Amino acid sequence: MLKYITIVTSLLCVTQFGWGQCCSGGVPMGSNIGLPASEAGVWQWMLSYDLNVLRTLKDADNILDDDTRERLTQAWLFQVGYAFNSRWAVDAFIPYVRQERTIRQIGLSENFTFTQGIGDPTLLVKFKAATLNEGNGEWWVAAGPKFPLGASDLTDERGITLIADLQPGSGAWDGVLWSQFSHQIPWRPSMSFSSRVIVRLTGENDTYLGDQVYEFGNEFQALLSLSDRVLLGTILFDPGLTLRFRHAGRDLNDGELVPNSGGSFLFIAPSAGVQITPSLSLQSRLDLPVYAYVDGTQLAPTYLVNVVLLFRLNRTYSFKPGTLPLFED
Amino acid sequence: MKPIFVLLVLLTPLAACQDNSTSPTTTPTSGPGANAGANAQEWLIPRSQVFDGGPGKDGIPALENPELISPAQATYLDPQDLVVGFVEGKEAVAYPHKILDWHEIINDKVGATSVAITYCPLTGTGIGWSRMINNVETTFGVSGLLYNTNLIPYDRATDSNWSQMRLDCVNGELKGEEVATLAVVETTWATWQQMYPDTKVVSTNTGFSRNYQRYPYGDYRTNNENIIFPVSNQDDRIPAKDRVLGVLIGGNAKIYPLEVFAGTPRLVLDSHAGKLLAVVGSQEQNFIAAFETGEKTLEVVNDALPVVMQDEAGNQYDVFGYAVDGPDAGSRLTPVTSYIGYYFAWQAFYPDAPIVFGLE
Repeated sequence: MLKYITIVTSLLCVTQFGWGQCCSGGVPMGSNIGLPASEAGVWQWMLSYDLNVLRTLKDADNILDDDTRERLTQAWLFQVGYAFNSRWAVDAFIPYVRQERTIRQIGLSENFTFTQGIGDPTLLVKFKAATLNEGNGEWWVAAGPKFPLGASDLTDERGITLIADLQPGSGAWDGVLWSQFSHQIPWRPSMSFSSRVIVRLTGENDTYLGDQVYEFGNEFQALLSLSDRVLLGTILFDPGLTLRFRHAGRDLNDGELVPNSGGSFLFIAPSAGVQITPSLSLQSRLDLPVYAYVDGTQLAPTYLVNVVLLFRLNRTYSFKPGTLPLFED
Repeated sequence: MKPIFVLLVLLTPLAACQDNSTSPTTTPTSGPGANAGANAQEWLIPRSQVFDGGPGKDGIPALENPELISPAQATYLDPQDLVVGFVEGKEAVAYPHKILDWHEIINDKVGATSVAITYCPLTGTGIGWSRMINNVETTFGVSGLLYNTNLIPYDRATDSNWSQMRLDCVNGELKGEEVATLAVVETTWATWQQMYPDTKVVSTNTGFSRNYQRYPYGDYRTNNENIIFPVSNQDDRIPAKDRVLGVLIGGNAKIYPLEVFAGTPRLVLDSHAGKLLAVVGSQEQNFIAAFETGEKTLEVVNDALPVVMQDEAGNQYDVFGYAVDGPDAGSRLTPVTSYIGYYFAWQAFYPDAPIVFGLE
């Protein structure tokens, strides 16, 4: 048990270095990236929806009595993964992002702005670093780039360029590090514990607002989850509880710290899932903030909703020149 | 490698549809506080240099008729805090930067005058605007837009957008109209109280929950490298964040850095755009003001704030140019349009402005 605690602790500590910064809204990096481990030759498809509602105005860790502003970030994330063998796998995902900003001042008409578009796709190469306790525990690590394909220079209908925080893409090459440890609970095999760490090391968008250089803050997320599987009638039901910590560093604009960006957030997130068919499952999670500290004054998350549809295709793959790729049972 | 190829094939259509699927849009399109006037596509300034500042329209809430308190009640202010002071008759009101940093515009009525104190924290410019436009009283709000990183207020009567430092309407129904400025004096809270001990000052009880003790822009006031949005015409003759007074006559600016007025009040008799000017200021007491002198011969007066000058006839003039004592008491020196701002901002808007680097 001691070595497991050591591994988990090291997973949570290994990325405590040099934060850049990021605001509490901005280009989303979902906490559910990285598909579950699977057997060799298995394709997995995942469609998830993230809704991040920010309407809690905070000054450092104090909540301000102000509900006049709201930011919504919605991300539809399409992930696909393939396990080459028991140790190597690859995941790729691409988001479709919608950013909304609403201002409702008393006596004035509502002001609403949104952008939407393809976000920045990410490719993760995953490696199983360790198998523990006769296969009851696994530690996977992954790394990969995030490509700057999403638009980062969208304008409103007047042709006025919107700030980085409202763009679907960051305009920068980022590096993503991912690590996940999972282990079955010895006295209850249907129950599992997992920890996940996600780090985004941000790059620079050197065409921001023309010729400025903008860099979102580095981002760190750590999740500790406990989940179980129970049979309710004929339905396999997966309840769970996650504790999620997110730290976003402050953004940089032309090398200078951007005021009112970055912060630290702690969420408690109950979740539920159902196994619809042997290869199809539906999971949902509600993240509720229990603590938030923002740099300066910012809107902080009020709640987040995540819904995941996961499809596993246990098929082999064949490809004939001149034809489309085919899947065979 | 085949699975990677398949992944790329699967993701390519998604990436390829990017151009067609991004549809930036804003709504609504009418009503006060919306973007009706601003939707007019014609701008007097390059639209490509107008940027969304982030908080959005009215995301920084302007104040209207704020609660005023006495200096003794204004315990949130420190002596060196800057205020924008306005005087109408016997009423003096101080509008502190500590409030303006969070609201940028304060719509007020002092005596019979409808005034909007417009303040841009990013250019450090505090300017008094008349709220009477074509004989109609209006209020101004924060559009959320910036030009040369400077505030663009909008008027709530027509939803037109105005440039604070250009002092004209740049977009919307009133495009081309000029701002009628009202003289204000920017100085420290200590100096303002010395000038007008019976002044009132804006309370922190604004109706909005903000931490007025915290400056919201980090080291922005003192970091000369930190200019958040694009600006044009930068140079390094003067540090970017040095506070300077710019005098505007017929669209031509002349710049007087505050540090030129070292020590107690000093007077510069100068000319600009065909006008004879008196520019009086004190770096120590942290104020600077400009007037047309006409044929008068003026000299500086020390230790008599708000009196700062006197003429050969024995008239004494206060910092707003009013003759407060002497044979012409009640008259006023002709005010000129002037306001204090960061040097880089004046350079961005008026790159050809001559600079007074020192006093003889």
